[in-house]
Amino acid sequence: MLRQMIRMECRKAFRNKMFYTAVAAGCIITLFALVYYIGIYQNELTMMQADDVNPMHEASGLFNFWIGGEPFSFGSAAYFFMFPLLTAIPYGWSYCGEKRSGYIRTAVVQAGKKAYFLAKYTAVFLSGALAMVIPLAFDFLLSALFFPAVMPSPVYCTSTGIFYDSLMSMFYYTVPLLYVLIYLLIDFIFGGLIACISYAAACFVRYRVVAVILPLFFMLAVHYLRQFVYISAEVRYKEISPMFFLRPVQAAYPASWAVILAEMAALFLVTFFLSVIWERKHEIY
Amino acid sequence: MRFIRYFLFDLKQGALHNKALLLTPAAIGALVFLDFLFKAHRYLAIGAIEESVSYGDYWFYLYGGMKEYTPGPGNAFSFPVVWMLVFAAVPFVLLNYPFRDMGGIGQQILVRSRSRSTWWLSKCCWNFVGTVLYHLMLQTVGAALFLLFGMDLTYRIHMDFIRVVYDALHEELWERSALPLAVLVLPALVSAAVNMLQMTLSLFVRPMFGFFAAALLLLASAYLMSPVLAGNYAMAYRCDWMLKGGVTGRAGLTAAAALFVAAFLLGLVRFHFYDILEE
Repeated sequence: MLRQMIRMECRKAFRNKMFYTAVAAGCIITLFALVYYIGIYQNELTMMQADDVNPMHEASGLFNFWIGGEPFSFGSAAYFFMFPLLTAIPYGWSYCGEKRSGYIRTAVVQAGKKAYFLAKYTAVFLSGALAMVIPLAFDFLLSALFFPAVMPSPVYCTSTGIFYDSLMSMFYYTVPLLYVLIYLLIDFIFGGLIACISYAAACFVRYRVVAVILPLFFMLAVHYLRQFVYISAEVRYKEISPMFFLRPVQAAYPASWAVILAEMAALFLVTFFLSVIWERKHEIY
Repeated sequence: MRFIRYFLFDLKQGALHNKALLLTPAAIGALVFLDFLFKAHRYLAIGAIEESVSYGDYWFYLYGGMKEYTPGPGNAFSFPVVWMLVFAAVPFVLLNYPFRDMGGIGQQILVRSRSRSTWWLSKCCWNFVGTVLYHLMLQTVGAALFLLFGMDLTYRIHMDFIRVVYDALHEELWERSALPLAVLVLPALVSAAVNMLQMTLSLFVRPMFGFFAAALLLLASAYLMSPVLAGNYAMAYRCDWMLKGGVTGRAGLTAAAALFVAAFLLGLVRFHFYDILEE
């Protein structure tokens, strides 16, 4: 029954207009970054042809011109600011809607509470995760049509934005594709977990729109914590805001596995507890 | 007469009984005050500023925004989190009421009154008053905390504090000592216009996409200093009163009024054909 429920919930999650709209909106935002960097790259090519200077190929390639590799364009700024909304829009609202419409009662009678809540969690997670990663993958593949996939060189670290203390900098300068894939995996997991915040929020709020928007404010609140944590200019802190460390490029402080895994675990435990364990013990009638 | 009754009803249900509208700015005001206080103490301790801060500095910290962003190596875009939190929270707390009302008692009112225009006008006025109330609450909480901590409750500003917070060069800012009234009201007016735009957009698309558009507009304003992007006028730092070559306050008032009226008229036309039963 659990497998059937998961299949049904996933079908509902991936075959709805909101999922397509969120993915399309994400892809459109990434195009802003692509267009901006195509202009920059064209400029660089023109300058290279005009002057007999070091072309610095390693400083301007696919791995630092795709949306995840640069922190300068509006597309990149917008995508990594709006992603909590983009991940919650596809299916984060569903539990709220089903509670209000009474659908949950029918589903629970048929499948049982455990199967229903687990299937819902899985579907919300997967829809959010895919809504986060599809636009990034789309931009990476599209960028590959325009920019050469030159192996980055640490000599140009100021251009690439990956420094000696950046997370997985060794991979970036040796196997950049693996670096991108690992980051896409991190973004996939975080996208799913952030979508689950809206599912957990739906246990307390009545309105779908509120449940969908809340993850953005949660992320903003975490981002605001930086103001209280990063108090010294001399200390090299680790990045704590997902709005920055989910970028494959270092936007401010370097990311760290400890922070990423701790936040991942905290998000999973809190959302899973609230939406599956705590909510299961509540009356649905 | 009917409009006044509707408006009073909206004011009561959508503003005075709206706990989120009162508690959210209170929470944000207190959080930003703590952040401001810690920063001011730190700057004073290391000698970055000469004297203790006043309420005007707190106000500027809330509504200042950020300096103009210039993309380039070593200068990654970092959105102004205080400003973003202050301005994105208003559309969020004001987002739900009109549509909740339309799905409930509002339907009865609309059918019995036989006037969609009055209903829409009332919602627009409520939106404006709600926004002003939000900003008043935000500033009142700050003022109350200033009183509580026995700090200087005047609109004096300290340029050394502003220069440190916004990492500004000496020559790019005018020397100012107090906040004028025009600068004080502009952010709330622009905020009301953005909220109005969001409410109108929510008649065309789902409210969550209306919010999406409003948040994107605010972010775009932070990213690009341009007179076309309304959010720039809501950043006190980017006004020509403070920043040499900044956006003009007069243009800001005109833009906010134009955006508000345009959104109102567009919403009026759209709402005339809006299927209220679908909600």
